[in-house]
Amino acid sequence: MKISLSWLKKYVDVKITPQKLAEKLTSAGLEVGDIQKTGADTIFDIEITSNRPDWLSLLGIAREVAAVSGIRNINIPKALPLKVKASMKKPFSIQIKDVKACSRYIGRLIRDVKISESEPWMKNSIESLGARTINNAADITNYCLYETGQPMHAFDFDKIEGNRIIVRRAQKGETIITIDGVKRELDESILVIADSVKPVAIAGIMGGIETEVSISTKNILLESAYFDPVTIRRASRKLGLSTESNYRFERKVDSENVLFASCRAAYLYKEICGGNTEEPFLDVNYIRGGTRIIQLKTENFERLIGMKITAARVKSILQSLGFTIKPGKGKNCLSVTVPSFRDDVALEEDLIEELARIEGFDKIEESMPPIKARIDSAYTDIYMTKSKMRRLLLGQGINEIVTITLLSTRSLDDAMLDGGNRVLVMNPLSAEQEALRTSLLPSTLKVINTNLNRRIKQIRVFEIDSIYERVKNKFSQTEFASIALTGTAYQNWKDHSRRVTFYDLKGVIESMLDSFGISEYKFENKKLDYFSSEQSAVITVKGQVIAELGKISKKVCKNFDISEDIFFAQINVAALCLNRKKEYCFTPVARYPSVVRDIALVVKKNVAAGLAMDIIKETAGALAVKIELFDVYSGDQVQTDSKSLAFSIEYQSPDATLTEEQVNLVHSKVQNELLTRLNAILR
Amino acid sequence: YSGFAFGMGVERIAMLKYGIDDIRLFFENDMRFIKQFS
Repeated sequence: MKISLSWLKKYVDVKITPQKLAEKLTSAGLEVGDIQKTGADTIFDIEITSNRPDWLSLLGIAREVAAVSGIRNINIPKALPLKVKASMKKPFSIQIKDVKACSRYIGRLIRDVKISESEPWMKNSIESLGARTINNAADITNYCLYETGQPMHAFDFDKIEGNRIIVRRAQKGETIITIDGVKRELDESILVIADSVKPVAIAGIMGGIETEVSISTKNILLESAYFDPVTIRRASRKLGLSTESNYRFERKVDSENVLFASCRAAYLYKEICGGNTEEPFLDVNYIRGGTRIIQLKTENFERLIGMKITAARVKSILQSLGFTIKPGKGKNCLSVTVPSFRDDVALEEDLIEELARIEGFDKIEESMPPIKARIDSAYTDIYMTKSKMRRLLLGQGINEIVTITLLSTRSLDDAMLDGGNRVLVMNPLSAEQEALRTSLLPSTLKVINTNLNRRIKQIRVFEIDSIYERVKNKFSQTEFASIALTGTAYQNWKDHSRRVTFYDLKGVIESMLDSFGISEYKFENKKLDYFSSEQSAVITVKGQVIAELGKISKKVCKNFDISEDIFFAQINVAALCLNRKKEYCFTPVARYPSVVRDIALVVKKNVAAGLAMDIIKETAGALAVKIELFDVYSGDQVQTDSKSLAFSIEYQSPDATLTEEQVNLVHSKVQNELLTRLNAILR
Repeated sequence: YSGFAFGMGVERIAMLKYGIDDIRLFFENDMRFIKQFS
């Protein structure tokens, strides 16, 4: 909304420069955007927030200026007395048919007006805000709209048939030609001001051309009313018609101000148009609302804002804003009456906010909050575990990523994740935020796809964060660490051609398990939907799955637009933490020599090397101190459906040097077990 | 208890500290961005 500083100065004294004033108003919440100098005047373009319709008037803004300038009272413009003496004369009648749509209507008859061009001071004021001037009578209502915020309308009284004003809904088929010369179709959704025959104005929006004040008008009927915001808004949208008038009704006018504005306009009609304002006015339908009184304690201001304020300053600020102050109940307490134009102030906190914003939020001193925390709680085990995992992975050149928890159900489907346990968002902002992730896989694949598109050759990433599941009506949240590797294994001049394999990932996980002192773990072949059948496994400790790893299936890769091999793993953080070695106990270093024996067997391709290792461990027991798989071969020398596994076993006893016989005994036992249980043959 | 509540994402504070110009970088996880913070 535009305001003219010269006009504003009629209501409040502005002693500072326009720039400074604009700064002060903006700090107080009344944002001044554009400042334009036009000759001797300055025009501010102000952003009016929706919670302050009272700022849609010069008087409203004057109060703000008074508050930020330390001026106690603004100059209220001259108006006729608000009280009317009772009279038997009733030259016209007002009937409100829709009381919900119009909860106050003041009609005022002003006789013997002289219509002419407006005086220069009024013309200049109105034109400085970019509005048109017509004649002195029409201009007065316009002037008062900007001044008081109350839109009013002047009818040519003699053109109103039946001397009756009826505030009602239009009927379907009724029409009106508005003052812009356009004929408009009406219906029951539109509120109109009608006389005994026809609509004479579209309530709150625009008057009709027939009853418009013209050069020949002798008597004016002045309307000042309260119209329901929703009704006016609907009509405005329906008709595609918007004016300064309905703009204010839609944002709610002040029902007390309806009276003051009428008296102010009447005063101007008397002074400028020479009108006779002796007639008592009619004030219809008004039921006065209760006044809001709030108890305010200065100490609460200090407690909530953290700044001191004097009682005198409190009174000064609140009074300039239009509040009335009286001593309140109790010590240092004030009884504050909220003016009718401040619907937004209901609590003591609202008053405190008024005081704070006028004093200036920048005046609040910075200080450390008083923290009475006890720092005796140590980092939790889980925290330490995650911290260690992070360090280990970073140390292996794997970069940490953070991805968003919400994703589309489509992403979850694309990653072949089970549908039964998903947690869905009730009111998602978009399809991309429909569900909480049940796995770190989809978002990781997106990151890989983004990086591959940007031609990044080596992608090694991990993420430690939660996944969310729903089991019947219970929700659960579990922390996992995901690791994903793709591209070249190393980036150096000698080794840059080797691409990452499943074993690189396996190595990372095994080194992590090792770092946590977990030695009793098993790899088990388990086909998971998103892994390819050749490389899909879980790791169990004491029968419980603690991690899964594998190569992402071609189908899933295609869904995420990836054409590289991706090796992915997810480790359950809590399980890792639970199974970690907490105490280290020394075992004496072996004093007696060891003997190394090899064994090579041919097994079917689907037999896991891990299984063979388990059998060796089991059979040889403590005597086998090191078992190493040193070769896996498939090719000409073995059958097409088989592979050869070669193990090297180191035998050692802590008590004595093993004899040849002892070694042979245990080694042949191992051999037999392997051949029988794995259906293998020696190579 | 009473207090003053407001929200400011950790990303925005990091943007101020490191002079990062686009908040989306935090969620794209481009390696060329990530590797700058070793």
